[in-house]
Amino acid sequence: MSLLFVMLSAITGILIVRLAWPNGLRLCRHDLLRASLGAGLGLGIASLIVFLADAAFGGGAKFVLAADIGVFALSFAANWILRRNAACPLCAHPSPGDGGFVLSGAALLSVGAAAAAFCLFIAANPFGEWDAWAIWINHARFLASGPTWTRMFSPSLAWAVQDYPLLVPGAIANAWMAAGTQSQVASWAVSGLFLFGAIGVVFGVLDLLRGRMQALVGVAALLGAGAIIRMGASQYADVPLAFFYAAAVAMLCLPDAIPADRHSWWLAGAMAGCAAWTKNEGLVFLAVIVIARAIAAARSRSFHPPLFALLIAGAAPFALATAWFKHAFAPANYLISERQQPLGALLADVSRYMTVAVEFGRQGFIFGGWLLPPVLVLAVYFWMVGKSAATGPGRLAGLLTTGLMLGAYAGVYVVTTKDLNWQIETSLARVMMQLWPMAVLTFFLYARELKPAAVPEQKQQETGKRAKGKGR
Amino acid sequence: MQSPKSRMAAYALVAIALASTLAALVEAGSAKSSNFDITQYESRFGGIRRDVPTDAAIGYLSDADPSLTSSVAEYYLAQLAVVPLVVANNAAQPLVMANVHTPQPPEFYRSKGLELVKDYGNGVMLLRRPAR
Repeated sequence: MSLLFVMLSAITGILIVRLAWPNGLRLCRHDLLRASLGAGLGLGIASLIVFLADAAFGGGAKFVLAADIGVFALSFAANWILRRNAACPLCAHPSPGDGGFVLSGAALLSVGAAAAAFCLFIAANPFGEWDAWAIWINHARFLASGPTWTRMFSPSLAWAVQDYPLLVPGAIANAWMAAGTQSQVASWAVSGLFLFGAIGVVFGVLDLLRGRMQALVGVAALLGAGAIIRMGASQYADVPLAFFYAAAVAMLCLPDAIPADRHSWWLAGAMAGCAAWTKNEGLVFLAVIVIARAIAAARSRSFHPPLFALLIAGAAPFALATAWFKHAFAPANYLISERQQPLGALLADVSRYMTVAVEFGRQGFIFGGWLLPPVLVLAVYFWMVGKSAATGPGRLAGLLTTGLMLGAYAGVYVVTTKDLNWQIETSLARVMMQLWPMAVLTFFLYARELKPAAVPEQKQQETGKRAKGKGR
Repeated sequence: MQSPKSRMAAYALVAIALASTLAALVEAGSAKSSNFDITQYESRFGGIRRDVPTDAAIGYLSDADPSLTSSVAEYYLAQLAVVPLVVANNAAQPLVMANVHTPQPPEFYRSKGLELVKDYGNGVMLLRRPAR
């Protein structure tokens, strides 16, 4: 039953995305993108429902169940009434072409291997790794307990990092409360949706903007960092955060190709807002992506305040929930509450910068379980294929966001109150993984498009004649 | 594709990436289970979760070496098993749950000023601090 309610949340999100990009009752090649974005959005909304139920209405499972069904019914009815006959606005964009047998097969094999690995990791550790059960599942259980949920902020449980936002535990708790049973399957489903949703977003947007071949290579590269599969199955919040980072950047890149599309702006905001509602790093991301997009727009002299208003409006529900949670419930983050050394002393310590720079640089060579250093592999690839001639402020915003987030993460390591080496050892690989799908997406938006081999002229003519014949 | 060089680059990248993904699959095939049997913890501590009021303050007492990482994990698991109860990692509470690996004599908890309320078996006991 828990799985059913995770899927209901995901379907609700998909229906909301279909309101933005409808396609009547038909399916098209953009449905993977719709499904991926929608699943993430739906889980975000599910977590908001639980937070509202607990924080504002005394925590009732009946409230959660009614709200889940109500939001689903509204989304379904809106689609049926308003969008039943609408055509897909994304299909107006030129077709991406064929991916080719070899690349399609390789990408499919990658995804299949990832799915098998995900199941094997889950089978080995059904409750995930240490932080999953100590923090995220622990929080989910408190949220699902209804009226007693605020006991999760007891000083006795300070070790459970009580200031982490609630999207992941909220999405799990939603399914548990609605189903009336706390099955671990809900946590597996949430983890799987975010992991494979990240793949779907990278594929869907590259397919739309740079063609099928680029999308297939992008998916293979994303999964080349095989550690993302283990991290997804670990049931931590890093892969969900990575999903929202990539999805937000992806949505900001769509107007580069489809300038008339306004929906990608609020969807980008919603994804960035969900990032803020997932982990504290997401709060930085929310600020960074708005600044990065503004810089990119100013550089291309295309700053339109109404579009930025849509971006902020999309983020607002999740950002407000995060603000309420932080202000009314959560204790201060350890960076503030545990400060023993003055900030100035940490900032003035050159050796800390050196340590962070060396470790960040080292990640470029050992990151993600690549068999060869990923930074070299991608650099050689870029050198061989060259830079895409396509332009647009969206991908520049992606590049700026990735760079600024790297800088922000480095800054947090410099000023951390924990032992720096311990902090790097226990978190750097995970933190880098948060940026990976966004970085892959941005990389392949900058790399020159791969195009299918030219069809011989004679064959084209024959195909054309056959098509005309069928038309008659 | 534009050129043989681009085609070669794409195939090479995909081949390296695919090999890396398959290496992750091999790693997953030999992934070890953690030493913590959470389901077992849930069934062992289920009685305490049922018997103790959710607003009670409850402590934790173990016979494990507190300096070991596994001891910390066991406390976290005990907490997870009894949510929404809040378990403080000390015995200075009116109610205390004991998690012992080997049978302990009553002196184990009496020395902490505690008395037995209920022995749930499997090394789980509910203790209380007698009112003075």
